[in-house]
Amino acid sequence: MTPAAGGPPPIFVVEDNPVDLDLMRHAFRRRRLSNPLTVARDGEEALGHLHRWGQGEEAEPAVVLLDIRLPRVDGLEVLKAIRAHPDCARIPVVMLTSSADDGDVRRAYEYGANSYIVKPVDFDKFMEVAEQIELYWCVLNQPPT
Amino acid sequence: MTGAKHPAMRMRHGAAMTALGITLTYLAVGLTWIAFSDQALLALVDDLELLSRLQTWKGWAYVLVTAGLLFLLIHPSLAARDRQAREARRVERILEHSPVLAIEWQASPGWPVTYVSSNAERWGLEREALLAGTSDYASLIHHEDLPVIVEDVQHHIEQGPDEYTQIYRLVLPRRGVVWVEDRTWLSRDVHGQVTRIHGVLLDITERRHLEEERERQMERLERAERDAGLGIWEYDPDNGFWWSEQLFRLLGHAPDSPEPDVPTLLQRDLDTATADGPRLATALRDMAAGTPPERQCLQVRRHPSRGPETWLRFSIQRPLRGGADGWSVRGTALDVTELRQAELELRALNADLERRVQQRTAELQAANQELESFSYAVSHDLKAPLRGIEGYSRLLEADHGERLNDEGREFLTRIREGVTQMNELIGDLLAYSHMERRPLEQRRIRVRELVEEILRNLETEYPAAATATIDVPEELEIETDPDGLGLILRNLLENAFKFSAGRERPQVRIRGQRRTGNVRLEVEDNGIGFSEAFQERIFEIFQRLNRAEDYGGTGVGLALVRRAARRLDARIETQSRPDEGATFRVELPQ
Repeated sequence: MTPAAGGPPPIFVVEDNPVDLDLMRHAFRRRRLSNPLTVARDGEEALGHLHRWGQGEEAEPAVVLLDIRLPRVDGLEVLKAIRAHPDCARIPVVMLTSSADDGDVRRAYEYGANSYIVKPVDFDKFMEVAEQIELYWCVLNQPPT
Repeated sequence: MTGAKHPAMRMRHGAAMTALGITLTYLAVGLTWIAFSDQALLALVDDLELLSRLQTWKGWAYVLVTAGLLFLLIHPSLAARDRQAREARRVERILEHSPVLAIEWQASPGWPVTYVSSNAERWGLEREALLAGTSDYASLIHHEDLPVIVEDVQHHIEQGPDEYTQIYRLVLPRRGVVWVEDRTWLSRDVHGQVTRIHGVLLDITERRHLEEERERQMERLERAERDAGLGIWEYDPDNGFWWSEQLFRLLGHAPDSPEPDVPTLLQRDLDTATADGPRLATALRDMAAGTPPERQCLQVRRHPSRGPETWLRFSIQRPLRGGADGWSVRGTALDVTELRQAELELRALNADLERRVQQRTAELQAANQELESFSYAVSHDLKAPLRGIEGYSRLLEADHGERLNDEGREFLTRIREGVTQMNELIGDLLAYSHMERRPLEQRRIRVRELVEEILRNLETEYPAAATATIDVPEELEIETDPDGLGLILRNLLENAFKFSAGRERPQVRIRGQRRTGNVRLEVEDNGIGFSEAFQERIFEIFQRLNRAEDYGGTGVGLALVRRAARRLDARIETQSRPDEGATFRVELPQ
């Protein structure tokens, strides 16, 4: 972890749906969580960040929240790219998606996802998910140094 | 050839000569005796008395000597005659019991009979009439055969040879038509004139009938071969091929053509590049090289030069061993042109059918795939706005709730109820569309354990699940897909609890039993039931029999059950009447 400007490392969200993104912001804000959110709106944009993390130009995220169905580059492709990137391969990736499809789940784990969470419709549960993610991945989890 | 002397003539001459010989010998001895015996006696004896006594003795001696002499002279010829008579009798007796008739004719028109052996009567001939000349031989010959026989005999009399055989029919008063084989020879005098005709007749009626029968059989066989298009062949290394007439016809040759050798057959008659042609060529060439072939059946086209397109199926039977290292082999050739045509048509038809099935299957798969991804995408894309509605209505309530009155807050609650229902509906739709895609597992499942687990999970929502009656034997097992069966039982049980929840004493019973060929599971409740008219409709997707506010649910549950049952080859039946509960029966094949 090389925080560029001190403070807790960001959570990197790859999400194309503005509603989901907005709800996610609300959820994180509502639970008064401290990690900042960095956002990419499609797969291609997400891939652009990998290089900057590696070069230390940008703070490496504590966790990547990755949707599967994304414009331009599919979420699973982004996951593969992260795992194949020499500097980013160890960053935890949590799939956060609408899909509960067995095939998607299996492939995500095959490509090296650390966790797979289906976005709940119920907003209470959604906030719960946001809180759990930050608590677990940013507080409890000890990433390699 | 001048004929041999007539035996009776020879015998007559012989008898006279013998008698003359005996007489002359007797004369010679008697005369010699008379001429010299008295003078010799006078020269030797002087005494008269002695002389007269010796004369008397001499007289006695003469009688004795001539008697002895006569015996010696007569006995051999008489003995010979006896012997001949005995032999003649023996021959007569043999003839009597043989199918052979000895006969002698005069060489004059009508062929009067001069001799016929004594078995003539047994043959059915009137011997006395023949010998007496009241009936002549020609009149006994079948009128169809007579002209040929007359001409033939005339030919032999004029030009020889003097020994010949004729086969013709006699019409005998007592026996009807009799086939005879007549071996004949001619006797001629010194001028070459035919004096007598001799013959030995053999009754071949029986043989002839057998031959006729055989010919009829052969004809039948040939007709059958021709009708069936079946040719027959035989082969052995010494004699080469023998072909039946039909085989010649099959290969476009006249039936009386000579059989070809193997190279000719291969080159001239068969198109060995077709079908099994190469294998047949190998088998035949091996055969020609002296190696017995394997038993096999090979199809080949006739050589185009032999006529219109014809396909033949050659069968080669198991070779038969014979002699030291000799062998022979038989086989057939069958015209299978029509059969092959039909087979080709069938094959083309099958291929076409197969292609169409594949095409349809592919189309169907593509359509299915499209439908799957469509419903999948729809379900997911429907969830995103739903999350928005849910999230923002919750935020609205939390952040601005105090500015709303009770009605406004009630509206928010309704909005969020709608979201929950929509969410369930999407979930069920997803499950429904996933059903076909899910791979089937095959496992042994203890039914009772599965039922108990489902009931435990339902207890929170339906307290009656804790008191349901489980009438399933502990050891009852089913071999099937566990998820599919779980889905069926869960939905049926959920329905049973849902529709009996309003009863004073809700009763749900689960029964399970093994039957021949299947396992039957029944879920029975004492709920509101349904009319038989809806028996089919309840399994259709989104079909509801009750108002949503009375009984929740998406209307997908039983459609899911039916789809799962179909995948497990299970049968589902229902039995219900309004207000009298319902029974759902599932039969899984085992």
